[in-house]
Amino acid sequence: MLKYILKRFARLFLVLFGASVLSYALIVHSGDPLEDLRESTDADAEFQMETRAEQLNLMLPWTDQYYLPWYERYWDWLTGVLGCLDPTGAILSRCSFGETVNGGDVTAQIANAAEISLRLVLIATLLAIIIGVLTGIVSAMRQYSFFDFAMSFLMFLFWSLPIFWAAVIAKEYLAIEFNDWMADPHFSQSTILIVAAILTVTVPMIFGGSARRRVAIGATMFVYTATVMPLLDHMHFMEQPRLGTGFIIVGSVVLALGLTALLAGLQNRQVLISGLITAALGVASYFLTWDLIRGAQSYLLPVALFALAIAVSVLVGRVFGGYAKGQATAVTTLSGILISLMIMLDHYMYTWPQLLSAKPRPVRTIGATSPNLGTDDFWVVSLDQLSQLWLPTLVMMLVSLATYTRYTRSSMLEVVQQDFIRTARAKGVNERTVVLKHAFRNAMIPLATIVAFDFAGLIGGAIVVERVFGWNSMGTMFVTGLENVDPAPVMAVILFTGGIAVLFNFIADILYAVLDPRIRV
Amino acid sequence: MSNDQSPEQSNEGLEQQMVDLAEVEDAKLSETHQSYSQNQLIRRRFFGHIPAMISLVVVTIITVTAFTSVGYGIIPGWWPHPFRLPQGAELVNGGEPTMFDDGRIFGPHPFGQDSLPRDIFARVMRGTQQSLIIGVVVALVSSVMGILIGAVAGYFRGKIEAVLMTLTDFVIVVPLLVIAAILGQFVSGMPFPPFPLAIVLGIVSWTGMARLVRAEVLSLREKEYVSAAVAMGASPWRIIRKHMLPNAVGVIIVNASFTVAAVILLESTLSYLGMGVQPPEVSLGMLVSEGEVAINTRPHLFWIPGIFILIIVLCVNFIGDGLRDAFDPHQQRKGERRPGLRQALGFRGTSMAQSRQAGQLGLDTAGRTGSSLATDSTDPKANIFRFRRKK
Repeated sequence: MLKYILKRFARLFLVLFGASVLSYALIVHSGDPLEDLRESTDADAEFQMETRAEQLNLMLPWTDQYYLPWYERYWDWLTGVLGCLDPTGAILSRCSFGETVNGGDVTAQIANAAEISLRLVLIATLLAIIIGVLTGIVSAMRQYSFFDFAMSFLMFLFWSLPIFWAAVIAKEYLAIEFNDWMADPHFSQSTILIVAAILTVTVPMIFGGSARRRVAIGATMFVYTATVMPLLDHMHFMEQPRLGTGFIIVGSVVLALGLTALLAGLQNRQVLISGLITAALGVASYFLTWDLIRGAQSYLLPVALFALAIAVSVLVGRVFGGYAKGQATAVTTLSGILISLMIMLDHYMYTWPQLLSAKPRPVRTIGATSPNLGTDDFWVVSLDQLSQLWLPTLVMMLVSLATYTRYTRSSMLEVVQQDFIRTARAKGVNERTVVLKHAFRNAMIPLATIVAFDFAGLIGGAIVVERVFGWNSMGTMFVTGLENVDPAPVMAVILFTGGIAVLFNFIADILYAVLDPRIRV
Repeated sequence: MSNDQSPEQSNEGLEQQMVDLAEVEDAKLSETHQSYSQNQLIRRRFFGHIPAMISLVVVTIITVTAFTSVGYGIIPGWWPHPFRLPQGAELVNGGEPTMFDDGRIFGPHPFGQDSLPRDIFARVMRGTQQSLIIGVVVALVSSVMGILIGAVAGYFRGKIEAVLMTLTDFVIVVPLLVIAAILGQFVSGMPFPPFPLAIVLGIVSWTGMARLVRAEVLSLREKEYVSAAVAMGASPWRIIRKHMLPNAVGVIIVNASFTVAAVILLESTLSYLGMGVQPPEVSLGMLVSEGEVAINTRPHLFWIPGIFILIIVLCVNFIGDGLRDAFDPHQQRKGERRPGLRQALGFRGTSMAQSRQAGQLGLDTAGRTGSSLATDSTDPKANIFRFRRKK
């Protein structure tokens, strides 16, 4: 199996190499890089043409002293890029992605763009998978219900959404509406009523059950929303949001209980105890690490703590799980992750007033970060990035949501009809275990491949979305580079997206082998 | 075999009995419902798919309007304004849409005008034409290439298959949008737009079809009738044409229709970025990007072309969905029966109790296989299984 995966990995790299040759040739021949200067009336147009010709090795009408055929230019570019594989610079040439026509350093640009784009694409993919798979499962369990029909229609709508159009709507309407609202953030009576009505209708659909149960859930949701929203408003939650100690404690315990109920059942004491221990550890760590996390200078500390939290959660599951080690570990790990995220959320909420004072209109419609924040505090900078990130992420998530929902739904429906599901039901396994353990796991195996395919499309979408939101990133590099017939930035984008896609395929193949023992040859 | 004494006579009797049985069954069946051929079943399922039918109507209306209103090529249309800047055009109503304005239904410029002032209705119709042409041409080109390469790769395997798989990897490695943008830029100056663009897009988007056809051919080549055809000396070309492609036609049509939708989206994205259709030609994506500049003063310039893209793509996707359900009723037949309105709205418990009272539940599950064939399960005679058991 390892041999197969490595072989495939090597082949994908070869394909990437072939693609780079082909793209280079196409870009170089796609237009005239001197077009704007030929039409220019500047006195020094000729000099500019000479400079550009020297930079891009072009043929000039009066001289060919700079000219190189495209394959030699490609070779120059390739040796520069291959230099990046060799950090010492001893064997190969210096690492360089070339320069743009205007003399910009592409190496620095792509390093910056890579970070921004990767953040966008990874978060969007992750959210799309989580939300899509959950929606798909609920749709499949309530096949042919109103929820199912409504979700099917919505997913078709998202699937058909032109991504650039959705991005412009998000930028020009959502962002500006949100900013205007943040100037004086209060829920009006009608907003509260509308939100309450929506929740009253949708939540019972997700939970299902008898008519009486639906009515009860709907009524509860209505009362809950109609009391909580005015309360939040009264607390000035939108200006000074906090989860608060009480919410963290209650939330952690509820998470542990809920996950236990979902994955193992509350009567399983071993799992319940492990879950509750994790919750207690999480709450304790919330108080203990508060000052430490506030003093963070970079993402290193939060990420390290997150990894530590996961490690501790796994350990708790293994130690206290007893006979139900597997289930206990799943519960503790998931609660560990979710509680950590909750704590992070509280930290970000704590930073929110600071960001608002630095930037009264929280979402800038141009750029991935805001200049002139007036502070270099890690939390403010990070929250600023997040506030710039959420709209593009939302757009990309919506567009790729449909794939996962539709896939999960049909796959679940297929699997539920299999004989082993009937056998499981016949031997008295309860519905939760049937759905989660027997059906869901088997339905999710090919998801790894879907993610790999979807990822390439999503990166293409990222180019468009970044372009619309005016991020100085991949999208801009790609589009302006292509317009200027300038191979270096375009090739950098291709190499970056291709490299990521190859890497993701590699991960997907490994996951596939782990999830499906049958293909371990 | 069953009777040693007079096998022939007994066999004859058995055969006669079988024929009688078949006739009786046939009569019983045709009493209650008609029988349909495979194609009839597909057609009935497709025409019974409500979203697909609505979409078909909408797409037809849009197509007819788009092509007749501004005309195509030398054929004139009935719409008075051209999609390019007319001489002596004047701004009516400040460029605002005159639709449903001042008690008029359409008015002179139903979708308004841009700042030049060109008529937006004519431009949107022209853009719709371009989108539809590109969608159909790309689907044709990519289907033909995909079918040929997929069938050859699946049938002969070996080198061709290796090449196909490498090209599929190519699609994974290089995002479609990237390669399409590069090629779009490459052909941007060519004559007869948008056909060069459409052909180029077809050339990059055939791998999906090829993979599907290959998978289909791979499974079909193990069938007995293919072995029989090989034994009878049929040429590979004939086997592919006569035995494999007709069996793969469902996959091909469904995939082609989804390709149309995907390509319309791809083209509008490229045109939005300025790498697809080039001015003076018009495309919906280009109209969106023109409208985005004036989004605060004239939002309709941005909304209308975008909504047109959304509607066209949505409808084509629904048609594809309907076709898939028609060709592959696999998923429909499984699981529960398609419910009525009451069940869909969540009162399934009530209606199940009612049907249990009426004593239909057992029959419902037994007649499950026939649900999409319009079996009337309340009539016990319609149940084939029961008839056989009695015998």
